Amino acid sequence: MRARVRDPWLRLPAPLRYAIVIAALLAIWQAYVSFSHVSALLVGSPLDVANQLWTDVANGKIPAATLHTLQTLLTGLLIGALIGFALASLAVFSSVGRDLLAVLTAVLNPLPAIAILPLAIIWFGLSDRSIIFIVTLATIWPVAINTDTGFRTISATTQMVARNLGLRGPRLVVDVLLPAAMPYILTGLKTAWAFGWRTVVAAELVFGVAG
Amino acid sequence: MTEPVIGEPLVVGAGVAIEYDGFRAVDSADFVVRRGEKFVLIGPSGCGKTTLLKAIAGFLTPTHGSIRLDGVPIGEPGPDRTVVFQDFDQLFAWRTVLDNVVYALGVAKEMRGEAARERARAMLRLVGIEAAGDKYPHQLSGGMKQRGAIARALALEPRILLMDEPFGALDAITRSQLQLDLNAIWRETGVTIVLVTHSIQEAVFLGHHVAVMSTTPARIVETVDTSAAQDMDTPEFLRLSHHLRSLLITPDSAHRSVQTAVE
Repeated sequence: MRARVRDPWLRLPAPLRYAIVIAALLAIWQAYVSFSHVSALLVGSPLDVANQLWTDVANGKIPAATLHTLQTLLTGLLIGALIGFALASLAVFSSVGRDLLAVLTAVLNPLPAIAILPLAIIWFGLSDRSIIFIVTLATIWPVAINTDTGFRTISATTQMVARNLGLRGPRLVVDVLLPAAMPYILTGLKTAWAFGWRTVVAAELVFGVAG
Repeated sequence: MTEPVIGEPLVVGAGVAIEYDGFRAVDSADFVVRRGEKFVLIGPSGCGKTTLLKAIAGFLTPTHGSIRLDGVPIGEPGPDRTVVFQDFDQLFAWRTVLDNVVYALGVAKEMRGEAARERARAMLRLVGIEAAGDKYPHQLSGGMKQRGAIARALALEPRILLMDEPFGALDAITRSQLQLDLNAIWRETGVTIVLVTHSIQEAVFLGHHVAVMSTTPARIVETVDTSAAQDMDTPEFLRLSHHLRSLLITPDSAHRSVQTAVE
C-alpha cells in the first residue's frame, strides 16, 4: 500500500510531468524568439528547428548519421570495456598488474580523450578509426576503475567459496568475479557510455565527417 | 537406521601454530578427528577456532607443526574439504539454489546435465529444501540459505565437511531445528564433520568429541568425549555442559581479559 501523496504535482504520472516541463521550456524559447525580434540566423525558433529536424529525419540524413555515430561509439565502447575488464582482472591476480592499473588511471583518466585526437589523426588518418581510438581511450578507465573496485569489494566468503570449489584463472573471473561485481561494472559502463558520447560528439565536431 | 561407524584417525593436527600479520592466533594445537565423527571446536569469541578450521580447509598454512588428512599434509583449498560458512552470502546470488549445487558439481566433479541436476535435487531433498530449488538466495530465509550451503557442500562428497559457526546467525528456534537436522543428515551420509561453535549446548548436542580452546594465542585445553550425551534431558548432558563451562569460563578469565584489553 502506498501512502497518499500530498503534493498535487507528484500525483501526476512521471512522463506527464516531464512532458509539461519540456513544453514549458519550449514555450519560453519560442516566446523569446517571437517577442525579442532577434535575428533567426542567431537564434532559431523551436518551430524552425522542429521543421528542419522533421525534414532531415524524413529524407534519411539524420537516421543514417545517427546510425554511423552509434556504430563508431559502440565499437569504441566495446574495445574500451574489454581492455578495461582485462586490466581490472590483471590487477586482481598480480601486484604488478595492480600498480600498472593505478599508474595508468592516475595519468590517463584525467586527460580528456579528445585531446589525443590530433595525435590519433596522425596515426590513423582522417577516418573513423581515429574516432574509435579516442572513444576507446575515453571508456577504458571508467570501466577499469569500477570493475577493479567491484572485484575488491567481493566478500571474503564468496572468494573463499570460489577457491574451495577449485576455481581459478579466467573461469574464476567469468563465473564468479564478474557476476559478483556486476553492480559496479554497470556503473562503470554507464559512465563509459556518457564519456563515449561526449568524446564522439566532440570528435565529429572537429572532424566534420558524417555524423 | 544404524549409526555410522566412527573409525581410525582422519585428520591429525600436531603442534599446530598459526601466525598472520605478526599475530599468533593459534599457539600449539594437537587434535585428532576420526573418520565418521562430528568433531567440535569450541572457544571464546576470536580465540582462533575459525583460524584452525581455515587451516584444515587449506586457506591458511600453519607456521609450525602440521595438519594431515589421511597422512597427507593439507595443501590448497579443494572440494575434498568443503566449507559451510556462517555468512548468508555464501550461495552465489546470481544462481538459483539448485543451480548453485549443479554449478559446484560441474566445477568440482565434472558432472553436468541431467545427472548433475538429479544429484543436486537429491541433495536439496536431503537437507529439506527441495521445493525451493528454483528460488534465488535472496528469496530464502537465513535457515534455508544455510541448508542450501550444506547441500552444495555435501553434493561434492567431501572427505570432511568443515562448518564455521554455520548456525551462528540464526534465531534460536531455527538453530535448534538445524541442529536436529544436521544429526539426521550425518546419520544418512556418515560424513566426517568438523564444526566450530561458541555454544556449549550445540557442542555437547552435536559433537562426539569437543576440543576446548583457550583465549588467544589459542591452545586446545582439553578434548572432551561427548559421544554419550546426545539427549539433552539426561544428567550426562548436564554434567558435560557444566564441565565445558568450567573449562571455558574460569574465575580469573575476567581478570585476564581486562589485562589483555589494557595491553
